[in-house]
Amino acid sequence: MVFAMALAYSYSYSRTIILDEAEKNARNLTLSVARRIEQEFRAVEKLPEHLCAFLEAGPCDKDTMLRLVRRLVEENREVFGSAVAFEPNSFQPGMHWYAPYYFKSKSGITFEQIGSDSYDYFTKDWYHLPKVLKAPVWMDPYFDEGGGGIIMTTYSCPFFERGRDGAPVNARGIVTADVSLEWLSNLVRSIQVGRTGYCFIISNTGTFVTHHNPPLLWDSTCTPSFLGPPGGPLLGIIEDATFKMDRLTFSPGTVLLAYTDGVTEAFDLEGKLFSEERLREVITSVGQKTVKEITEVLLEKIDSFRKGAAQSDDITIMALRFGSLTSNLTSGK
Amino acid sequence: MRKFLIQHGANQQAGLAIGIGHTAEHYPLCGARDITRSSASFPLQSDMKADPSLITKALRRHINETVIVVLFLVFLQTVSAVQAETVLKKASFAPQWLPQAQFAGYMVALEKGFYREVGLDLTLMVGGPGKPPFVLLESGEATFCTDWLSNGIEKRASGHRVVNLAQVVQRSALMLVAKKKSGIEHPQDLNGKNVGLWAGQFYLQPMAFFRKYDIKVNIIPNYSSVSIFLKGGVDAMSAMWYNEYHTILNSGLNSDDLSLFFFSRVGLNFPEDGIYCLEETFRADPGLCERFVRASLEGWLYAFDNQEEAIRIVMKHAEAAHTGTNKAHQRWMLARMKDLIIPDEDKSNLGKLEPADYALVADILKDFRLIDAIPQFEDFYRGPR
Repeated sequence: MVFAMALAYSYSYSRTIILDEAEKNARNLTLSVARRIEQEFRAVEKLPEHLCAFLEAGPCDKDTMLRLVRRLVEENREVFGSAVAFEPNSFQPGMHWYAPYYFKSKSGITFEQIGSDSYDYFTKDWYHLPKVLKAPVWMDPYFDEGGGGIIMTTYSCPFFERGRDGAPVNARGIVTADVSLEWLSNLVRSIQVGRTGYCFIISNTGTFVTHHNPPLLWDSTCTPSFLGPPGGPLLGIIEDATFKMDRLTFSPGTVLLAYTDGVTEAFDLEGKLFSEERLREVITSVGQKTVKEITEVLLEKIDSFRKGAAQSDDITIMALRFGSLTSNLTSGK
Repeated sequence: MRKFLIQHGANQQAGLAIGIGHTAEHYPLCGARDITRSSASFPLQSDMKADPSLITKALRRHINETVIVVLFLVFLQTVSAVQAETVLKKASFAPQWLPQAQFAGYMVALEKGFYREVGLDLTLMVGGPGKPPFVLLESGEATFCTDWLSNGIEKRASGHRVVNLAQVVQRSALMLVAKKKSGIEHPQDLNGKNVGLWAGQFYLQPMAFFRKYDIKVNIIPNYSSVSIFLKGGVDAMSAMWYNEYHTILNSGLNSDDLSLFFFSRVGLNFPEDGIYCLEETFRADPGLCERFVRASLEGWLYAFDNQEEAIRIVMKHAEAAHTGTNKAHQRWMLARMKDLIIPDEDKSNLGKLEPADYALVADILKDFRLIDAIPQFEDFYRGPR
């Protein structure tokens, strides 16, 4: 009886210690991860802030300004696009809209003038919020049709006419740095937390910015890439939550692969993860096969990777290929 | 007996213009051949011997069949007349904003065939930014539209000949939302604060509210999102109870964290969505207008009694227009629309514009010099009394 009580006490005490240590480790790891992400974001923030300081310092000719914006996009892999959007008549009298925008596209660095009757940037959050707050601000993720046409988040920095004391007097415009969610997702996915832990980024309004297990998307013209999420709260945790929906347009031959944790978090005997990178490599090599063959090959690769290690989690894989309307749905294509 | 038969024969012949063949079969004894031959006479051979009970039975059958034939003829005529009457009349309807539960009643009425039942072949247009409903009315693109009462009165007062056919939304959904941690719990706490307001028709009630409580605020223009409020750019902002307020709640703020100022509860109840058409449309066909209103209100009542079905219909339209909404939000919106359209579930005033409500809105429009003179109520309102 005494022995049993001692054993029970010992078990309970040990369990508490282990849990406390695990929590402490997780907390430290989270802080460390947060600092690392913070460093990456700070690097992005510096870019429009420096450009704002330059624009506030004195007159700047148009060509110099355009060169600077283009370089900001070209030389920084994290930045998808950048704009300098001016207040009415601020760039030139009589010019209501002036907002040169450079962004990365398939054909290289592309230039556009945003700002028109159909895209009144003065009413958009990325312009209006920093102007009202008189301070830089990160936007919640959004789909910007008038800009790069992708899901992105934006760091917007206002620049001003300043008074003698340096206080902002009149807003002259906004400089933006657009960050595509794919870059963020890659960053977060590269961070390993313990054996099966993962990172996600959530905005201060509860929108999930990025998460693990993004689906893979490809067609015959491009290599598989991970699909960024539209952002939103977790399913089922908030009653009557509002969710954003996104639409993709599939052309014939496009393939979407969705999978569960058990795929990327399959372990081998040495404790190495199968990982998203390995998944992408496998899919790149078999992406043009039938969906049946893709899923079979992927399962075989996971099995051979594990080399007999215990399955760590449920494995579910769904591959679907958009074919023509006349294709035989039972052919496995 | 013979005389009787002759009389009946004459009558029967007159009534049996079509049924003669049948009739003849049922008259085994009474000169059937004679009946079929002639409509002028009923030559009854006096030497025919007939069993009276058989004759009565046959006569009764004859009369029945006559009645059936006559009724059939009348029915045929009626059907033709009805068909001629109910060739569907084409009409189009422009809601004032994007497809959402704010317009559920009209979507449901269309889907369930209520408009067809009243003889309307209705096209439901897609509303949204850049599509002012009164412009669509005046260009002829829309037969009917919805818009706020304040807008309708302004239009009428400025010489546009629009009329209100029904005041659907009885209570104002416009409100101010503030964070309690900004120190705002009572209207006077708004003094000196930054308040985000939408432009246009959404300006009037807040300005009247500030004047009522003698409040001076810094007005910050607000556009399409609630981000400026969530990120602390303003201390309070205008919101629609059925829309932005729910978005704010879903962004992590609890109702306990917020101070709500409903204009409808402080003597500034401006009824909102009403149904409008051009006065010339109403004059040309008041029946068309009345039928559109009737079917629309029926659509609303159906939507309130069958909310899940209504949500499915709304989502179909919303997804077709790529609005990016979701069922949870539309469910909230529909429930609020019920509160606004039949407040306290009292259906007796469904669709009616009360002169007192009209006067309240018109007076404030005049006070703020948005109109010079108040249009006559009877000229403006042509709806249910």
